[in-house]
Amino acid sequence: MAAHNNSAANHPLLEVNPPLVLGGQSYHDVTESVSSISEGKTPKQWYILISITASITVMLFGMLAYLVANGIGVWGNNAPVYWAWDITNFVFWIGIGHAGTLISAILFLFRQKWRTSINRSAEAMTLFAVACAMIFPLFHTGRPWRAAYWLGPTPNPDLVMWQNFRSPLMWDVFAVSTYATVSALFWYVGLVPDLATLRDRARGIRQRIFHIASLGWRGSARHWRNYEMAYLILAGISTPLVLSVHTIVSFDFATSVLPGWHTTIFPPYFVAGAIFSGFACVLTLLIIARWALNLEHLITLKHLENMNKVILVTGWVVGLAYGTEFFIAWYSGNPYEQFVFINRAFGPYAWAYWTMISCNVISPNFFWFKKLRNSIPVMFVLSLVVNVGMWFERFVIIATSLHRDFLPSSWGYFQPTYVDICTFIGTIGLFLTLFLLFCRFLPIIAISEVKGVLAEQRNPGPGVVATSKVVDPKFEPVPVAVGTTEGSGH
Amino acid sequence: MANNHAGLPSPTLGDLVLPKLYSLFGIANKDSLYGAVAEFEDGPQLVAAGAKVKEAGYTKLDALSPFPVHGIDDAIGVPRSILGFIVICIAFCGTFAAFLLMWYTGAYSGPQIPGCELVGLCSYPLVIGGKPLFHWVFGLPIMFELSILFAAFASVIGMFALNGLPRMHHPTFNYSGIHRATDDRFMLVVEASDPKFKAEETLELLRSLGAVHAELVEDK
Amino acid sequence: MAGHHHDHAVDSYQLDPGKWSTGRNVLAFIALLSWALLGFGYFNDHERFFQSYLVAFCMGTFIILGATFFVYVQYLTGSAWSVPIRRILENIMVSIPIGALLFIPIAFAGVDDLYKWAKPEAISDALIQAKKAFLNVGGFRLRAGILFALWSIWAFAIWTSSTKQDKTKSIEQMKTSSRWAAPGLLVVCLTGCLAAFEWIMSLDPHWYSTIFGLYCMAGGCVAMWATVTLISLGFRSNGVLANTITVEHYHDLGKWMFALSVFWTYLAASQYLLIWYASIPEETIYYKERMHGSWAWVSVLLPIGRFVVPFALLVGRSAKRNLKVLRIAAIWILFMEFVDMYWMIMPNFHEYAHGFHLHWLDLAALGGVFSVYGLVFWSRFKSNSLVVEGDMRFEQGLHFHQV
Repeated sequence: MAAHNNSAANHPLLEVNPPLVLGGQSYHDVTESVSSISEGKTPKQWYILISITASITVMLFGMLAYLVANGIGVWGNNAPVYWAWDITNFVFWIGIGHAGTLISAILFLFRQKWRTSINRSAEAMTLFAVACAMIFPLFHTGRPWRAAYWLGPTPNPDLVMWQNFRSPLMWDVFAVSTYATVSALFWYVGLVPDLATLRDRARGIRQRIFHIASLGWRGSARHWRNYEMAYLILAGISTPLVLSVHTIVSFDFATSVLPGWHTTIFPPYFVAGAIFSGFACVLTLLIIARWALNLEHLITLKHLENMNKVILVTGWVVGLAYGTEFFIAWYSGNPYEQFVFINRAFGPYAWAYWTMISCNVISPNFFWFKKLRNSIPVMFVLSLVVNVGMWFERFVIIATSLHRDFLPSSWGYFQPTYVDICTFIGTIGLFLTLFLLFCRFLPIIAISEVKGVLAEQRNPGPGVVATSKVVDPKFEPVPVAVGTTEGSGH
Repeated sequence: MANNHAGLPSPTLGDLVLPKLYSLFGIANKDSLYGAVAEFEDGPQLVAAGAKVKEAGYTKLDALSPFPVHGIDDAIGVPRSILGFIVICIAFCGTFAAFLLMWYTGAYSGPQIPGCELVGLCSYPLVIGGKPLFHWVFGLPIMFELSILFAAFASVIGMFALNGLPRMHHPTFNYSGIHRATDDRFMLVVEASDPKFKAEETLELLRSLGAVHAELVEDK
Repeated sequence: MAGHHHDHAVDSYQLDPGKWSTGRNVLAFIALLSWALLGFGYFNDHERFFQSYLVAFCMGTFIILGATFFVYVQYLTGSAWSVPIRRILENIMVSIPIGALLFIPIAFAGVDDLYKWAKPEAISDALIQAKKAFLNVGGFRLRAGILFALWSIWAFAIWTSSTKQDKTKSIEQMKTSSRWAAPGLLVVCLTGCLAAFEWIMSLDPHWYSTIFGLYCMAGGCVAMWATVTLISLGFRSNGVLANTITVEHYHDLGKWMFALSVFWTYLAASQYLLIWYASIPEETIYYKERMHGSWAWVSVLLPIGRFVVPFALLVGRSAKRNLKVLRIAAIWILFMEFVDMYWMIMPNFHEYAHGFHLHWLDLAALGGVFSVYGLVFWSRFKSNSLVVEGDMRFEQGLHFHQV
């Protein structure tokens, strides 16, 4: 069916749809470039980076130990702002994690092939972000070792009574722990074929470890059949799951009767914000990883540009949600609602509010320009700016609604203590440490999935533009016997 | 495959269980011919060869590939996965478990199970915030989350169980170039238990279909 | 799918003039009959006329907004599966200008019959007076004009470029459309929510819910996919595009109806849960009114009809590939979109506070609105191609296979 193939290397569609795997690579080249990262000698830069991040993590453990020894009073939380940085950081980290699930699940369901080079690291990021998030509510209980029977569905020997399942905070426990578990399962299922690849390249004890970790995977057609079904189901259930998690996080606020918190748009608005910040965080990490590990031919500019487009869209969704909230606050005719929103923009926390607006609503608009969408320095800076903005969004929602109570006599102003600040910075250290460990020891790109995309490029279906001849001039392929080229299968 | 001697009485429990145990711990089952493995350079050749072999009347076929090759299931006759059905059933168990948990602990006020107070398992209805003891509205989030959790475990455990994994030993691992099955080669496997299988003839067929290499594999 | 293809019998991409005329005649007949009935109904019971008309108008318009949204999304994501059906969506999208004409009865004759804030009594309602900057007749008309203008400009820009591409087969038109689609996505989200706020939510000027706009948009989107499914099936049974829109494409249409039904449920459940939980009288009144008398039955039907039925019908793979099941699901979804609109709009009128009251005008209004939108939609097929044959991904979309 060669007549259907638009095999020309200069086909106009290539301008808008460049190949996702560059460099005229063979399957073996893909195996080689991903596996060699974990097989080669550890680079010196890795030791330098991890010693910095591990030190920050040690600081985190120190701060947590100090908190446990002295109580929650070491944080700045006090009347009327009983929830402050702890829940801000919790929501922030959970939101970061959501992009991982989005990339691995939702983009999979939408058949967006460009996800394959980035989904593995994004899923890992989800796990680490959720781990960082869980630290905050756990330590906010003051006695985290008791949290298991305070929070879990276990009979409580202290009070001989059960948890209050009417509380959104209990829903949160179920949502976040389900999310952590399902993300870990999804991540592991994705890893299994790649662990088998590493096994088949390894010797001795390393081979045994990967053999056990891959459960004896051999890539049989019968395996793949069930595997693809399991992957589809996991993607199918992770999609509503990721929506439900940030929805339930938003319920923590929105089920209350507090002005600024109780508004029905919170569930989709929190989800959009989570995707927005998560994509920004994936972008930050990927820019560093592709530079440090020479993965430009697998994580191409096209991948990064697509992520920038998602950031632009979700940035606007978040902006529309801000607008809707403001409009309905006025439209409600409720003086308390109106006060909260005027106070957000012009009250004591106006600085935080306008930081949020400029980072989240204004800064993504640079991505309207193709040149800026394709500029690594610009997108790196903007990804950091969006992360800052999204942290401020949660802070603004939490602090501004709490610090002006219904009774003016109990009005206050929240200021973080050094323990607040160092704990938050510490979680960034923990997150980066875990990410560095992952980069060093596991395949950071889904090898089998990239090969699937490469196979489609080599043997395109009818009407698909063949891209196997598009070669990245900067990339020198490893010389390996290569089979047939495009189009022969039809 | 555990017992391929046609005409023998039905296998004993030991016949069924022991080979599974052996293979789980990586011990070879017995010395016998497992089948023929042929190696191809790309997916489309594998699919074409698989279809030809099936056309020739073979039924016990398998394929090994570094990524799912589309069309291979139809070519060698692998039925669709039944995993979806299993997952849906278990997901509804999750919904029900969540409902039971919330309703029993918070709303049940009938007679208590004898001895449950010793382990703290009594129900404890308590009015909080003027909300009803149980209502589907506040039950929704946890019922949803547990359905998802159960479904996720069902799909992962179910997938490995249907695949017969973990399995540390498999005869195809004896193929000389097996390490490339997770890298860049595509293997077609014809089992010796196939009624049409004749060692040399099968190998010749596989080679004629464009295999770059084909050999017999022992189950040792 | 390599090594496995069917020899597609090639369809004609031009609608046979005879079939086109038959379609037009049917639609014109429905239009004449419905508008004659509507005219009679207006003089007979003009309040009920406007109430039924608003339900039908909102249903039709939100379906078109759903098509607009998804045309933009498909340009931006470069989706291939949808290429063979995209012209149907584009033609739905570009029938929006006539909506301005359909809105005239509401804006200029019915506004004070329908909206409490436009009645003379509103002067003594302090809360309505506080919202006067937004809830006033002049602003209502002006904003509707702006909304229809924006929707029409964007729709024509993309539609013109798309039909031009049928002949040029050049990538330039694809780029032009994408350039319009990106800001268009923002415009349609913002204006769609605004339309929901002022046309539907302001019927009860005291009540408010920030999620309401998204709720209406989601309902419109799911009904839009049902409409596209029915149009494609209608084409198919008349031998049009029967080899172009294959079961692989229907499978995806089924997926969208399924996914958006779940998404609608998510928004509806979020709104209900938050209002139930906070239990603030100003907000719970919305649901309390809809628990009165026979409305309670409609309130129970809604989650069953918009979630349970589509979920059960469309969850299986084989169901989504069974055209009979899809047809039933699509008809049911459209019916439920009507029930939803009816449930949102009708309880606001005091005469139906204790229960719903079906009227022949409901059916006449549906016929009137849908036949007018339908005639404009149909007129686009007269001389233009039935498919976006110039799209670079057309061949790929034609041979699309589910994994």
